[in-house]
Amino acid sequence: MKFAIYQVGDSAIATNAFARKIGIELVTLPYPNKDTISTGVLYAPEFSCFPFKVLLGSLIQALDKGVEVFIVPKSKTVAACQLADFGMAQKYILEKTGKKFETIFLESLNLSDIVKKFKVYNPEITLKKVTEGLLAAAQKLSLMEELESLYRQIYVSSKKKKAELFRNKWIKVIDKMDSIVELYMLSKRMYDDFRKYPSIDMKNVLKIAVIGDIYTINEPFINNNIFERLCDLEVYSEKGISLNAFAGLKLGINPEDIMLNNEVKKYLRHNVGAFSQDTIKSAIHYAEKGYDGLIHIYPFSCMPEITVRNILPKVSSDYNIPILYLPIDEQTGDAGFSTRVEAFVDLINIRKSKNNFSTNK
Amino acid sequence: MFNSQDPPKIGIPKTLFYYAYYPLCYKFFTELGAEVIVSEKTNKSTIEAGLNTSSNELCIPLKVLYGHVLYLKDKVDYVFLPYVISSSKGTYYCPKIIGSPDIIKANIPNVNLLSFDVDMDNLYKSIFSSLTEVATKLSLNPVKIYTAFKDAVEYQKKFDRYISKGLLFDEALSIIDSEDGRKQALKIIKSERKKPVTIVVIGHTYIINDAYINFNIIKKLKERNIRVLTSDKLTESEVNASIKNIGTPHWSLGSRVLGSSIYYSKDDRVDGIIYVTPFGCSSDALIKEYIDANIHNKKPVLTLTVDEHSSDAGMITRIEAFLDMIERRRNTETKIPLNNKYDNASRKNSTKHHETIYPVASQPKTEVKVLEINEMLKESSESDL
Repeated sequence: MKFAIYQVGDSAIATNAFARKIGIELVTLPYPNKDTISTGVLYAPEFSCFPFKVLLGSLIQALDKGVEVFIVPKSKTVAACQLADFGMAQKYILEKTGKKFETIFLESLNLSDIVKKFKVYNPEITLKKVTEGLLAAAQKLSLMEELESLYRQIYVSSKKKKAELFRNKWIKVIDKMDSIVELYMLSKRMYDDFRKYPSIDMKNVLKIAVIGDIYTINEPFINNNIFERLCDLEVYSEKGISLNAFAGLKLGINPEDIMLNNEVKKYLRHNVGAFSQDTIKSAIHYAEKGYDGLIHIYPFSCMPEITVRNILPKVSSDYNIPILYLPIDEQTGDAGFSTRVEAFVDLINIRKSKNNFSTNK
Repeated sequence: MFNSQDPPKIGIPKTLFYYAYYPLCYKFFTELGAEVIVSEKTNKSTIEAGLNTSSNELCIPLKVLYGHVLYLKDKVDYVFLPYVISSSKGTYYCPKIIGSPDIIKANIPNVNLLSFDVDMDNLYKSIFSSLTEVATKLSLNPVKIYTAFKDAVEYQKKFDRYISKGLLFDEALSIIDSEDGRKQALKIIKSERKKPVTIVVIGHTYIINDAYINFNIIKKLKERNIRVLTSDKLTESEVNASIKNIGTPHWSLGSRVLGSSIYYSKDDRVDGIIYVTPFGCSSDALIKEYIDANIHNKKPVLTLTVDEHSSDAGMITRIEAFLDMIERRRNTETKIPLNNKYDNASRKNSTKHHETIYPVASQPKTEVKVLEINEMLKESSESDL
């Protein structure tokens, strides 16, 4: 029996590790492409958010590959946002087209709950295997995140080819390694390898943080390869939110930073859904860290991020940091997108050199 | 009750939860001795003011909220705008609504908001902490606040009873203070029941009750001698009962939309459903899939998407076409199931009697046409000869 789960960027490496540990066959879906989007848009409701359309498209592609069971995350807190309804809505839409499949709803990362749900498909599953699987998956996710960050640094300092060689080499290592102890040692080895490349001059390089919706930031095809575009313009970029946030781990920003949390609550008192408070948190974090600009990227009709988008101008003026807003949907054009990003980079470049000039004087 | 000479003026924007909880807020603040000022009905200038200040991705209810707050800003001491988080356990309001006070604060400078949390997910904690917050903000004795709140809840319950009988918001508001309110309500309901066609208008409460946003749909239907029911009529328990088998959607407003459409689809007296949704509402987008799958095409549904660019004429055309369709459906002797794939009962009947079901009224008409054409052909061929 073949299984499938939502994929974001290279998340398949982590989910496959989990599947191998608990002994189910998980199909790796191809990266989203034009076909995925056009199938998704064909079946999805007009105003559903863009991630829903893309994920629906990739699930239809999965059905064609013989997938019989979907694993759908579904949580019942305010943070779940649309994701809480994704599974059911997709089920209704695909049943209309006559396709048949089963859906497993994962309501939380409750171990015994997961064991119970998968026992139907694999009777040999145990609590130990599930724990190991989740640990390996989480560790792989954070390794991938570190690798991405190193890749962007090499891309800026050396050339694209070298960066790609570096990434491909380490992706293979991360993918193959299943021993948890070795996975925890891997980070150091990766950094040792990274030190062979020339480092970037952090004082003079332009620094931009890309903040916004978690799916859009982490899926290169959907965000029009924004990180590579920034690297091409010799900008050091950082992700406002990584996939680790989804696994309950947060890198970069300390979640218990009380001062920062209180600062965020001045702008947005409650978490209105998804990672809305985290977007403002990362905006303030990077502004205080002295970044030159922020890019807020979000899908059209994404409700939490639109709420945030209407509050960010205040953050921008309070912390004196320019922000570029980029809503994305199936009609976003390549040329228009790059024009806006390039213009923004030019602008903050001028701003930075002006500031440097006045401080030197 | 207030320490200072002048009672504070509290402004309530006539949008969002005004249409659900206005009686509660009104009673609560007047009991405390405050003066309540309600903004004007939504009109062109409200929307224009909103459009000038908001970002263009926002949906129309939020743009309208900007306009209402701008109207009230200089006229009152506080604009009342709570953080409405959830209405029952496990369901939440739309992110834009939860964050609306923050959006207003960030975009309209110098506005004095009076906001507190309304979170039914943990009701008692939120209500007590919220009321204490109000007490400190207005410098009042907390005990007085609690008694005033108790009275206000009673007043709201009275109002809700009228709504659940089938009165519309404006009707219920006009009779709630009169002594023979019950008699008047019965009179309205009796006259409404005599009307031949019943249509249910479904949507978020601030859409179906705001005449400017929904292009006065209720008045348009009433002018055509139609009884109008709304999704507000159902009580919370009725909504929950009708979606029990499906599982509640994530959105509070969505579950009301879904629950009422399922509830009315089973009601024989209802002839059609009009579903009004704002442009770009992505919570409604998925709810529409839920509705399509669960209503099984038992009733005709018209979906109207509204925003600041839609026009009155377009709305009238669509509503009239929908009403014509319903009229034709009523006139046919046998009611045709819209989609007999789902309707097993009618399928069985049709095979039993070996009858094909088609609109009876249209049958002779087509025959007449055929005859006419034949005669015309004959005439033309004769004249040709």
